[in-house]
Amino acid sequence: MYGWTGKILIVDLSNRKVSIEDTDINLAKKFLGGRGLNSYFLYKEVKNRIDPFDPSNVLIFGAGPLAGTLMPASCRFTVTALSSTTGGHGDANSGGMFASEIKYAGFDNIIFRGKADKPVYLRIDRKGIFIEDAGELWGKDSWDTQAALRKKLGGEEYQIACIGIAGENLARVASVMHGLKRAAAKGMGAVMGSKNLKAIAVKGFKPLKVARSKEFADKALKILKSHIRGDMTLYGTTGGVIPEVKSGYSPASKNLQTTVFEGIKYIDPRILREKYITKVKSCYGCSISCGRLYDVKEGEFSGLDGEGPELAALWSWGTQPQVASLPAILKADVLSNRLGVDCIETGNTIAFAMECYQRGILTKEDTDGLELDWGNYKTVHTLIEKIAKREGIGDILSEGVERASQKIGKGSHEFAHTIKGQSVSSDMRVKHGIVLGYATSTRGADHLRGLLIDDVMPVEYIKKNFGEEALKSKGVVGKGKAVRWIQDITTVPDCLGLCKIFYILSAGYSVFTFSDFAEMLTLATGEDFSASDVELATERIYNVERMFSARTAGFMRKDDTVPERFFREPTDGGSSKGQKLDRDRFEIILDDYYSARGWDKSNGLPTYEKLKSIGLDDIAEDTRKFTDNYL
Amino acid sequence: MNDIKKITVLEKVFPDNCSGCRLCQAICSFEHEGSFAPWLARIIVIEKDFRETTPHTCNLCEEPVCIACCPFDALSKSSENGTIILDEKNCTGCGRCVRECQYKAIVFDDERMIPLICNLCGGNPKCVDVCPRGVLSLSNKT
Ligand code: SF4
Ligand code: SF4
Ligand code: SF4
Repeated sequence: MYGWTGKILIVDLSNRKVSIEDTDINLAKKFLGGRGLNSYFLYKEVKNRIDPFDPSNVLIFGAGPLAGTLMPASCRFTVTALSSTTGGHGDANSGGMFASEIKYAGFDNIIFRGKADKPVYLRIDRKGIFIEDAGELWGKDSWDTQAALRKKLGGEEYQIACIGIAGENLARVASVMHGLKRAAAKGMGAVMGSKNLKAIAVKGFKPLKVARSKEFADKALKILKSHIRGDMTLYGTTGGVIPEVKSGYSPASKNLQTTVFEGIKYIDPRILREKYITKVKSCYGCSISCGRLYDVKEGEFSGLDGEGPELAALWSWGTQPQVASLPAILKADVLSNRLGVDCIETGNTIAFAMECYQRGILTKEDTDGLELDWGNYKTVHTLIEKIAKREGIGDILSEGVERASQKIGKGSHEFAHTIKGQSVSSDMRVKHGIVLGYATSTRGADHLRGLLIDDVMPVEYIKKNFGEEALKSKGVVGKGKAVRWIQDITTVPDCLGLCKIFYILSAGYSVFTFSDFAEMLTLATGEDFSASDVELATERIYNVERMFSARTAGFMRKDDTVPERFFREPTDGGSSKGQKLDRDRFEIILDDYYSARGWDKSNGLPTYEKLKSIGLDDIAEDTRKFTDNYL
Repeated sequence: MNDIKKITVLEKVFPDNCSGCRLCQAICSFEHEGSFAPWLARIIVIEKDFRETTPHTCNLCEEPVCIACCPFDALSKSSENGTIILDEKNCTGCGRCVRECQYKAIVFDDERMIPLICNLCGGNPKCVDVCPRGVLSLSNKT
């Protein structure tokens, strides 16, 4: 095979056995690779409603067919499992140098089954595939783990994905970490910890071939050269906060109680760049290089250094807890990356706890004496550590917003802003496109799939294809189709092993079309892909993920919603001041979305016929068996 | 040999420092091996502590240590452009040249057991062309 390596590694941790299977070309054509194949494998591996930490859960790594090639930003891998936060389909995507290395080791996917009886790590290099003892690594944070492994294995060339202390302690907010800050979040770190799998260290040695290599390289270079520099290089994703600084409007503030944060001017990404950023840092093959190294040279956090931060970190450690200090945010960034917690879920959980404290639901007696007042960055730092260690109040908060609110009780659920158990990172209550994308994403609240249609709109494209009304925040007609299209197009990079920041966010949604991706896929793999083949594959993937979550978590129409607060309380700032989400209009666009997907409006699930029509016969048959239990 | 050209690594600052993207290595391996295999690139990007990355390229030394140290006379200098040429049939794969090169610019191919050394892609180095940060340039050796 070309593009794909043609091999899948199966690691049975319980029996400490590894085996290699061929990548099924028909499956690869149907699900493309990366996230797509992962999702299908997950569907096949986990059949029942199980505890996410049960050894029968699987943890799947997938690098797409373009990962590790000359295709720009072909650096992405997806980690998939039954989610420890939602109980449904869970996956997360990360960049860095790991996806390419998996490919160079000769694998498209790695599937971990079972659970090791004590901590282990997986090593893959020219000498073979080994499940090694990780006793010495247990207890180390993600930076120290990777450094220790490189030292032990004798090479900077080893690329490592691992968990920090949070994953070891089964904090549900834990991520799989790689490099200084690359993270696959959505609770994947906790699943990895539950398997006693501390790390995966890979040093590739198998040259990766593409089919029509000359044409492929020419096209890849053309894309590369057309897309080199911009604000994304200067500010990384934090550039998204610049308009917020200018307007004083922040969609992620004080656990979404307000959209106004006075202190936002102090966390200006432009100050970040001038004062703290020292160098550009890139993922494999990327010309945008949105990663940046930072250094704090003076003050309380003098000596601190790291990579990032991302937009989400400015929200999670800045606007949400109302911390108006860049060095304090950078400290939180380093802590979260080293300990291996997801900044979004963790930051949201801390903001949620702060609101509980504000309202007297939590008191100092519950918080180990900590004052959870807004803006208290010391508390934020302490809580990150407590969460990773599951210590004191951190034990409850490590469960993430949804479960923490259930444990705290006392009406706190009113302030727990989650969708399918995954917390919402920002306030989108007046933006119906985003609301619909969030409500219907297959992995719960999700700022990366089906997002931003109101903000970064490919205006002409949407007008032309879905009608003018689809563009308007409160528009109804065409919304469903537009959101479906965005969800599908954003699925493609996830499957091919490409970076969405490169191909979607910084390029604009309609620059790279299904047909562009199909062309590169064809040149790389030598298999003929048309634009509609690729589009159909993304549709299959959405349907598979949807059916998985229905089967394991019972997610259906009732769960396709957004936090109640958005329907109840109007916003207090910005141009949309005084507005809230209209329930009737929401239900209408939800219907419209199901129509666009061809799903049953009564329950929000794909029908038997629908699944059949897109070539998911096996899943259609399953549906007959299990839907009765849920309907 | 005044018009000898070599690849120079420019000292650049944010946002144009070497980002560690390894595009130079990807394209180098593609040019010479027909596949993507950064570890077989003739340009070596070394990462320090997960942070800074520095590309290492052949210095085209006037008196190349690699040639001198080779016990089997497997290396010689091109009279045309000063690059180092390997005579594979003489090479035993001892790896000495790799160890002795103070520029850390020679990579060892563990598969074929030979050193891989930059040949400037025949005068039009692909790595210089691809580098998105403009870190590499082809300039006169002075
Ligand atoms: S590896 Fe080959 S070229 Fe290098 S010193 Fe040894 S014999 Fe000479
Ligand atoms: S000039 Fe050519 S051979 Fe030399 S390092 Fe660059 S790409 Fe490789
Ligand atoms: S292509 Fe340029 S920026 Fe990228 S690793 Fe090579 S020298 Fe560094």
